[in-house]
Amino acid sequence: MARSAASLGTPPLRSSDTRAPRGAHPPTTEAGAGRRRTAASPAQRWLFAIVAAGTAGLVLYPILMFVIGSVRTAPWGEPDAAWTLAGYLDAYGDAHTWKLVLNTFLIGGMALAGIMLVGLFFAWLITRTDAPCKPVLEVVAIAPYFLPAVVSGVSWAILANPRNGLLNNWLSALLGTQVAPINIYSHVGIAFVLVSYIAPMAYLLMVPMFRNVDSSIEESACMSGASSWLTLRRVTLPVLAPAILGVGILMAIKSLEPFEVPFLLGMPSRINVFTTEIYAALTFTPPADYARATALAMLLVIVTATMVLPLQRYLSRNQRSFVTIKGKGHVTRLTRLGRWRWPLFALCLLYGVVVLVLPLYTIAISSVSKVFGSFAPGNFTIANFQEVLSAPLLRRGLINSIVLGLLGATLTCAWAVLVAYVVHRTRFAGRQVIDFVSYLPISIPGLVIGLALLWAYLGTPALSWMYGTRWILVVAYVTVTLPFALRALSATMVQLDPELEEAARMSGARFGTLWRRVLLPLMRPSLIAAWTLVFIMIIREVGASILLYTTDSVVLSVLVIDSWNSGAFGIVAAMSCYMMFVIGAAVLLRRIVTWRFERVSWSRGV
Amino acid sequence: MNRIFSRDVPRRTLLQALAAAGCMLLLGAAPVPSAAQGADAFGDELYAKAKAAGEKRVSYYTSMVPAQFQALSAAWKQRYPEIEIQLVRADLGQTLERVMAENRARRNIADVISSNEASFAVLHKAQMLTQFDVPSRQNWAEPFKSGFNGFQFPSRILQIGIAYNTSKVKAGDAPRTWKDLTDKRWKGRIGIADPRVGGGAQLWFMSLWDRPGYGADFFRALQQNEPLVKPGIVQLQQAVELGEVDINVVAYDYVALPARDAGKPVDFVMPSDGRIIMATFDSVSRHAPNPNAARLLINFMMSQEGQEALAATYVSPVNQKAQLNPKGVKADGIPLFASGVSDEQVAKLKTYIDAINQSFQLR
Repeated sequence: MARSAASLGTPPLRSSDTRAPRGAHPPTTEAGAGRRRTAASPAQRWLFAIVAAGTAGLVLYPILMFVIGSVRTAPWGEPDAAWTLAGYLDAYGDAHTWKLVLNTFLIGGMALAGIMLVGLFFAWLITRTDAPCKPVLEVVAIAPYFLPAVVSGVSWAILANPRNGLLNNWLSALLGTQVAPINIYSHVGIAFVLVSYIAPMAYLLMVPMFRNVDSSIEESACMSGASSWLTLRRVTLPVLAPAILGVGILMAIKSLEPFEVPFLLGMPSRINVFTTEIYAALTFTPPADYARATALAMLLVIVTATMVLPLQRYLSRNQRSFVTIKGKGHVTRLTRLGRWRWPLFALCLLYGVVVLVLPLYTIAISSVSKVFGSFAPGNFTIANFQEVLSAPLLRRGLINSIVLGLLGATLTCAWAVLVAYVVHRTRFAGRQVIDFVSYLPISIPGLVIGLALLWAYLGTPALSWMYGTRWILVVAYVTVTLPFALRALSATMVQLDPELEEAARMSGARFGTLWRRVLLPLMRPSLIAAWTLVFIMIIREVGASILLYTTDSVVLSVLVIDSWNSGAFGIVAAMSCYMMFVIGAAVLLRRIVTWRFERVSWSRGV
Repeated sequence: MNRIFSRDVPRRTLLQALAAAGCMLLLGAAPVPSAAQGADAFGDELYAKAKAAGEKRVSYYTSMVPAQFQALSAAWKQRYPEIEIQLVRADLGQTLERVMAENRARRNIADVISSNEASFAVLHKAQMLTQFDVPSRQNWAEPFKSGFNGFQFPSRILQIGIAYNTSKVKAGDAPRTWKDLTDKRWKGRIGIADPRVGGGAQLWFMSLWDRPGYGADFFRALQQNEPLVKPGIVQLQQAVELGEVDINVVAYDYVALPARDAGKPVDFVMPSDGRIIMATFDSVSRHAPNPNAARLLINFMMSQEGQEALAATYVSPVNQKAQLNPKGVKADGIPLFASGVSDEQVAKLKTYIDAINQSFQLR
């Protein structure tokens, strides 16, 4: 992976490098820049130009289409479309909207707290402690993300609905009560389901950052008499602050933006959320009310912007304090959990049973049984699985998902490395804008970003030729997943000591060599984590896929939604299992790669 | 479009007319070109034209569910092996977005486009569709036959009824009419799909809301039975299968009946006070890259053969020469409450949404 990123990113740069021979040190130093900052090399200028142009095309342009959509009566290019503010006036002039906003923030706030807590806990336990059976723990931490949101929502409705939920039946029998102990159709219930499948993203984003903390600083704290807990609180967490804040912002958006789960689980108790209104504006009756939908979605963009801008300022002011990867060897000393070792492990297992085994059990049972809940012989069938494998369309979807996932994840990570470099290692004016703009796609709900991409791509002659091919999906996936890859890789870029590059340059390394021998190897753990996350996100993506696919480029997630909409739940369950196999294979691959890397690098230092 | 939506078609007259037509057919008196089973000169001609024009595929932008498409394409392959149906499936709103966006960019890929009344209005206004006719139209059921507007072919007709869990409700006790649902004994046992979301649930609400003797009173009584509201009809079907609710008040026949056949504890009732049916239409795109193949696909879907292939998945055939699914639900003699939403209903949508919100306290 890292190698493909290098090969994608460097050739033009290397050639420009050779065209412009110069000393190890560029001759001029930018006036007023810090003593470490030198003037941009031609290679850096090229890189900046490419990144700026790419960001404009990949991200800014669809965002612009989205903004225009909020002030037009019909999409750009429709003959009788006019300018209007009706979308905003309608959406925000209605007290009901604000009630929904409150509801959304209530659920989102609870979900965010849960997601960060679970993510932090697993990241710390797996990277910084001597917890037992770490591969098992990692499965518990990541695997719940395999479940498509729709499937998560439904399996929890089956498990914990107040009328005849399986879990409620078991618990009532156990406790001898008549009243169902759990009501999943509640604010807490919805927040819980969101935590169960979003927390793995937080974990995946935080793990490499935790790994990059040099234990020597923790050791110094211990030597000065601090307890393990005090060290974690006063040393480890503060040094990780930018990383945790960055992930926190992504997760905050992720907790506000979901649509399927609140829609499925909120309706029975009349808990309406903000995204339900967006869905209503787009689908209640055609033609869709874009102005209203996009005006509503704008609120999430504004929320994102108000969180990202202060973070940027904070990071650029305190850049030096977060460097944890320096020139000397890097040791990881594991915190001894002592008598907490096994109780914590048991707690994780219990968590795994609740968020993974129970929903999986429900899906598996519903996919192999004719009558749900009956264990009579003859009630079980594997026809669903065979049907999935034998239908040519489904086979094509499976193959496309894998190919597009591999390609999309690789390109996204390659692009994110370049963006992260430009943002954190150069001083070009406008680099912060690139960082900021790259954040925005996540704040636009899947339903709306799909439309923005459709309008943008089909409105551009250079891209419209791609429409109808697999390439258009690859481009869409890069845009949609970029914020996540960028967060993971930016955080690592901040942790890398610039002295390492300085040293390489002093020793005469060219720009290409610097990447190949210093930057990419140091970023490898983050690259692998980001790649895994992006791969899973692509396999799960629906919003853009459904508006951009054609028969040849059909993907698994679209087929799952198809079967879902037609009531073929057995097939949905079977396909979800296949999706999990695909994602599971990717995680396994990552595990093997990381393991090799860890053994090598941690035994002799980086 | 009003002609499609004329209510209360006198069923008896219709049956009489059909019986008469049948007799004439038997006597060989009616001039019915190329309607005999197996022979379809019109289709053969289109097939030849399509092949001559080098049309090897036909792009079908539709909401057709996987089971229906499998049945249709299996029959199609038998008859027209040299043209492949390229399926692009999304819901009707998304289908509309794509077609309109493709047209703005002059990158038209769609040959045949599915629509409902609301999305058709948009397509028609943008002059996206082209007029066409098929010989099998003379065999269509009313009100679709006389209501044909030259663009919309009602290829898939579904019926809305009541589904119940057979392990919770005995067949003899199951509700028989819409009004039965307001009986106190169903309190806390029924579920509805959110009618705001559109589709069958919205049609169901509109037609009963507008009907004398039902209206606000009916929905008030229904709400007193505390229905569980789920986002969609298929989610509700699952809730019935799993026993979360005993009765699904807004069920589709083509979803409930296959579940019953698969051995699930579900059955479907066609309420005897009134039928509510709904069509999904197919049209030829004006900008179809494969115009002959597009017409051929529509001709096939509307033919006896195509309609029978779809009937295997419990689509109600609009072509009356096609056999009903023998395991399907007979609706003979039941008055027709609605066969789709009317223009007037579409225009008043906001009023209905308010009525829905109020009836089920959704806001």
